[in-house]
Amino acid sequence: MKLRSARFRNFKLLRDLRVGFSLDAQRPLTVIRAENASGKTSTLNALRWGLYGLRGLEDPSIRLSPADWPDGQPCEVLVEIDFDHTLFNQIAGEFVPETDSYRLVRRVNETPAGDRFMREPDRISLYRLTDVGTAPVENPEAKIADMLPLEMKDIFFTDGDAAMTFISPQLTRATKKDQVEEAIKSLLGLGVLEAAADHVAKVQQRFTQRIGRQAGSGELTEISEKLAKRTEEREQVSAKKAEVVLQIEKLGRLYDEAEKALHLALQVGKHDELVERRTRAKRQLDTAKEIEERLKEDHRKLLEHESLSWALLDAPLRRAYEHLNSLHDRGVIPRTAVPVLEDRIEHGICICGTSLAEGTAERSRVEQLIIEQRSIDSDRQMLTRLFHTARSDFQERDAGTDDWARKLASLEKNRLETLKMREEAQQELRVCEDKLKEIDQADVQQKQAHRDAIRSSLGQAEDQRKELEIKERELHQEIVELTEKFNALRLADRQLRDLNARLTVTKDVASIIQGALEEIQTVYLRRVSDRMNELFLDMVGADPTEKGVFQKAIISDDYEIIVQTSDGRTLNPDHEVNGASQRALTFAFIWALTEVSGVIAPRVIDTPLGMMSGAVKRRVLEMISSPANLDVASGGEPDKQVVLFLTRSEIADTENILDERAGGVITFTNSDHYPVDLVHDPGVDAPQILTCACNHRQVCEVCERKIDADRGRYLHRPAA
Amino acid sequence: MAAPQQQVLEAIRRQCDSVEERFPDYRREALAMLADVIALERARPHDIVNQLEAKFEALGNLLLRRTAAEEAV
Repeated sequence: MKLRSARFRNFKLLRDLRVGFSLDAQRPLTVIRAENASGKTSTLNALRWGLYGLRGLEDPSIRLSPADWPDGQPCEVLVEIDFDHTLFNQIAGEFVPETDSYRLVRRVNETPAGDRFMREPDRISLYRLTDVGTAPVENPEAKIADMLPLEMKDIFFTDGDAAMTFISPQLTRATKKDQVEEAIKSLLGLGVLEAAADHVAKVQQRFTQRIGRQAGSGELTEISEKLAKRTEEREQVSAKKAEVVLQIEKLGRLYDEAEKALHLALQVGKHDELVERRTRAKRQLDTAKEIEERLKEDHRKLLEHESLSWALLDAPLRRAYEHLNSLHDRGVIPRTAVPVLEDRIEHGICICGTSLAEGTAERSRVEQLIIEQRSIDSDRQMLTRLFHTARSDFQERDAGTDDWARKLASLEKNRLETLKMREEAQQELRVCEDKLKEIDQADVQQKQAHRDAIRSSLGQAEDQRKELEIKERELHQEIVELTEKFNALRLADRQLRDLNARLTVTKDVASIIQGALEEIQTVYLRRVSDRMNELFLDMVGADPTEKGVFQKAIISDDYEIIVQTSDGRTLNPDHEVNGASQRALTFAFIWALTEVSGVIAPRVIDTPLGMMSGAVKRRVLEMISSPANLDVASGGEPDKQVVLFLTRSEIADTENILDERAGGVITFTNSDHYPVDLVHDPGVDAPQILTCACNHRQVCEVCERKIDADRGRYLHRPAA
Repeated sequence: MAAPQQQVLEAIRRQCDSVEERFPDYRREALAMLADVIALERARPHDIVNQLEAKFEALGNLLLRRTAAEEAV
């Protein structure tokens, strides 16, 4: 499908508006330039509503008519879409493309009543446009569903944030996988083949049973019945397995949700880890307190220590010692005179040879001298003791073995370290206790129990699935063996020729369908995966030969999108891939899927370049707007169409790409933005979206905004 | 239900080439049968199995006729 044009009437602020789309495969891009609240989302919704009715809208309860439509007056909302559609018809053994033009018209009456509104059922008409006029198409809803099924709406009509549908962190893993699988199957049209395989198998079974009933041979009848029974059993087992698989998927979703809820409850930190951290902090605090007490005791002892006196009295004591030393040097101490004089008295002769005999004046003088000397000797004795003590103490002190200041400094250092250790422990303790208070333990335990119960059910279901798979394989093997016997017997029976021939062709067709399904599910899935990888790495500018963050993006066999790093790690697209790269990954997936499937459909994207800037923005735009490549064999798309709703800031720095790729540019302006943002008065009675032919480099009297003058990058286009 | 896309149809055609050519142009007939099957699946009539059965009967009869003719030659 390719859009030719669309007309909107009374859809929100799209009061009467027509948009043409580029049909040029070499300039496949149509740009609708519009600022915020200028009709981008309304246009996207209008296209979705036009094609799919209310089922196409995210919220089917929204009012479609303009908000200011008078109460009580019916308002006809209308969307008209002209498009081309190509169908492949089987002609003479070839699938030949055939393109027709159509006009789709959907309308509905809404009557506002205060905050509410009455809405009648909508009406849809589809016409085939031919050279001679228009021809109504019967059952238009089914026809549209056939051309562009509803389940593809997220692929082809995307708003910027919903572009994350396949990898959004808001979705559970199981849901994302389902969506990827659904998108691939839907886009390739595998649903038809799967249904065909089922129905052809039923026809085959009918023929087999009839052969059994008509066979004359008792053995053939017996085998035929057995075969029918085993086939039925296998169908039952397959159906049961399908139920179990569904149950597993459902449980998987529930498990993801339970895990998410538990994760949220434990977001402040895991309870057990916090308890462990709190215990460690308490232990550290106790140790710090013990060390602190010991250091206090050491401090007290240090204050009582003699070395403190030394530290305080060092200078005066040193002076006193120097004085004593001087006395010693001068021979004043130690005392020596009294024993010498007594010795001389005893010998009766002086050291100078004078007689000191009894009664002599000299003897009396020496005796007097001894008495005088004895009176001052006690002082010398004390000084001598002091001298010796001081000398010993100073020698010890000068040897540095008892430095009070050094001891004090070391003690203070230790006390500071201990204080720091205590504060850290207290802080950790506070953090842990606060976090533990935040965790509602009962709630966490309940959530854990809930998750564990689901895990247990999931385990049981997995076991059941394995058992059923084994049973299914056994039955399959038995059926193969029975079929061989059955074929051998039936071929021998000429009477069964007709039925045999019918069964043979049915089997051939069944094998073709089965083979095609297997080929598509393996070969095409790999092709989509490889192409997605190529496009993604291109867009994010990653070189797999270098040691960049992104090495590869793949779709696994069970439809999961996985991003790998150069060191072999698997990144979680939800948390470990930035917003711009997530968007690039989604676009890469959508583009790869569309290219590989060969589907021709418009890709309409609202605000695709939000969250992007610089080189990534340019590369993404280059990729999504690239011209069609007729060389399908090399992976190109034979035709394509892309419609982007871009704001001025998204356009900034990509103008030259748009010059080259845009086959059409139109600007939307909300008249209600005057006078705050718009320069010129639009001169309309009711707020509405206006269009002008300004491209991404132009402004005119309709669309010029006050901020445009500051940017100074726009050319003035004369008013039409 | 979405129509099978070109790639799917190509896969079907390739698979057709792998069935035995039971008479000249048998594969072509099988491919035409597949196209009918797909058309029926897309139309989704309520008695689709009966309609398919009728088509397979017709193809089976053709197979009988053509192989009998081959044998006669």
